Amino acid sequence: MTEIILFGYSKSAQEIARLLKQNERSFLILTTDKQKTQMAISEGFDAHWINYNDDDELIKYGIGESVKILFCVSENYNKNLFVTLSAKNLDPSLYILSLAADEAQEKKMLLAGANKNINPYTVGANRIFRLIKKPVVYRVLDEILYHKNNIKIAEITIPKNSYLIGQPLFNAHIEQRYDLMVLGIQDGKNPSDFRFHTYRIRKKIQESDMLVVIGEEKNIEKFKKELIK
Amino acid sequence: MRLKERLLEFSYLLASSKKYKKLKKSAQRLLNDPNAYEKKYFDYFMIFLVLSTIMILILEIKNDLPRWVYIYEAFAVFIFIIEWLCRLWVASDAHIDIIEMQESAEYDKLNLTTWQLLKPALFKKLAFIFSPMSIIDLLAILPSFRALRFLRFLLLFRLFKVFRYTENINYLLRVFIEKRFEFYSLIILFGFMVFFASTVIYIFEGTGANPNINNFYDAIYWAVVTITTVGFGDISPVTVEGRFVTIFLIIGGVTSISFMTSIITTSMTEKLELIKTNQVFQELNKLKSFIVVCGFGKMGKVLSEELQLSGEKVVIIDPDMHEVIEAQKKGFLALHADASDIDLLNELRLENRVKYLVALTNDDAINLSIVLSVKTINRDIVVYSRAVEKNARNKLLIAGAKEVVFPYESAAIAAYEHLGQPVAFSAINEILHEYIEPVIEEVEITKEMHLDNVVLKKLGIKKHRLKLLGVVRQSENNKFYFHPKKDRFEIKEGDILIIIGGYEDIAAFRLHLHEGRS
Repeated sequence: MTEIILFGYSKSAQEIARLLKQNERSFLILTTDKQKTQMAISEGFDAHWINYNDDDELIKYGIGESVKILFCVSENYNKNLFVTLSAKNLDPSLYILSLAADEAQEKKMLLAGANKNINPYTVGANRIFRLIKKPVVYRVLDEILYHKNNIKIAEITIPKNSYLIGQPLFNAHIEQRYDLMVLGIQDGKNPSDFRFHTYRIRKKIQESDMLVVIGEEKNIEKFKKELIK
Repeated sequence: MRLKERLLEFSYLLASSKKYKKLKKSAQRLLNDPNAYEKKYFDYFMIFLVLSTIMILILEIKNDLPRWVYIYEAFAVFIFIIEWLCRLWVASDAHIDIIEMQESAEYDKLNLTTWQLLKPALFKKLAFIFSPMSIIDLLAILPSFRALRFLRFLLLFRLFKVFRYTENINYLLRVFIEKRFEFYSLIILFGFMVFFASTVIYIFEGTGANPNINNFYDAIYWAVVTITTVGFGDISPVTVEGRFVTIFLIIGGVTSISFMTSIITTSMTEKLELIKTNQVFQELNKLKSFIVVCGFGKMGKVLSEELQLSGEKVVIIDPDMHEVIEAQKKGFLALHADASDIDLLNELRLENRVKYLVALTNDDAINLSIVLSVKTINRDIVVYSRAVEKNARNKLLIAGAKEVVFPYESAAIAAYEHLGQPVAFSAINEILHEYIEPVIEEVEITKEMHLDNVVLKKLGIKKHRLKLLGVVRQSENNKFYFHPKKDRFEIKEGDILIIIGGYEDIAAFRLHLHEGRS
């Protein structure tokens, strides 16, 4: 069962496909251009040609069923918009990502139902900015984010029967006990409420809140296990 | 013979003296280098002197001026003389000319007379004396001497001296030199019309029909007044033939004047761009350190804005005028130029002022050329580049770019990470932003802080409401210590603390580290 679909085989799509393959995720590439389909197949990807106007074809490849994530990354913005709209219509819970480089296109994609747009030029510019301004920080965070050392960043949702529920975050002693660093906490009821764990934070831990922690893998696992006790 | 030997000896002495060379160089800078910042004040001072002495000249006509005014004028003239002598001095290197002459003579086994030895040096100095600017200078000085008092009106020539101190006016005046062919043809046309009209009017009205036209000079005067559309009216045609000629003269005058105006305005607007570039260069010369961004496309815009927000000075180079104008509108210093041009990069004086240069054009070949040009000039400048096609990355790295960003790859990684852990990923992204609190910062432990072997707990991180992500130890090949134990971990000189917190808290913490122990 495919979980991820890439619509289009642009430069960004090629990069995403490579990354997905590296991480052994199952995915499909759908294109509207037979040449591109051939190109993708010759690279060793599972690619198909589709008629993007036809909702049945989208359903055939699993949208509305097993597919949870759709990348709308073809070179043609209008086709991206069209597919985003049709797919969102078929499955409102589908997570759609786009990589539009243009501000106007970005807005349109979000309006059509994309959950998140990542602008390659902004990301690229940010990368250079950080290389110039904060090289050490950047290296360290890069290593953490892309698993280049034994330190990981993880999202941990507080389960129903956790001992932490009801405790104020600053008094929970998670950091000392598990040798972790708590970066912040997201409210379980209101996902847009993310607070950084600075010393000004005043929040009690609640069920289904999400903690973002950084630490060694074994410590994170230990923390996860002991949460339920 | 002895004079010649002394002269040579003196020349060699000067040539070997470092002090003399330095002195001459600084005089040269003050007088002739348009980019020297001291020159600006010198120019203002000289313009003030010129204008004030002209004021004296005007007031003197009808008023009795107090004595100090004349002392002041004498002082101004004294300064003018010194200035002119200095210009004469820096115009050429006489001692080097003398030495060169002597050495080439020795090579040819000739024995020169003193005069032959001095000739090239003297000729160079004379060439300066008779250059137009020097003549203006002299005319501004000479009439002040009592013997030449009758030439007093020549003092007005001092006004021309002002041009010397204002680079931009010079640019505009160059219009007349560059467009001289257009002006020549116009002047010939003008002269022809004036001559024709004045002859005709003289024939018909000069013989007594018009009491105001008594000679050919009157006729020419009338024709010029009419053709330029000034038309005083003191002389006006009275005969039918005369009026007939006037009609044509007026039409011809209006046409040719509008023609001339358009030539001047178009070429002046062309020059205005030059003046603007010149101003950008002057601004640039004042900067002590800046970052160069080549290419003001989508990436360039985002990067430049972020850098500017974080307090860096950014200079943009783009070959597209539209982008340059947009950059200028956004408050950047922007140059309309090709960044791979080595001469331009040399002119920007990158050494010691620029640590980072970013090549972000949408053409890999141009980016490569920029990287190579910068590396040719100075290997120490850190160059980051963008790759438009992925396979250009290696070439850019070989050329000397420190890191090459392929935006699609970065975006793909970002997208992938976003899928896995969206909250964590955006949290990290947010702290990396300069303008959303909290921020993440590097705090380096320097020698002056005297914090070697101090336990982490004593730094006061918690007191400043900050969080420590970890410590990067430079002395151990940048090893990263994650979340070190507060009561056991000892700080070493050169450690970099990676700290998360509010902007002001971090600033206060930095200050605390600097002051706390000294």
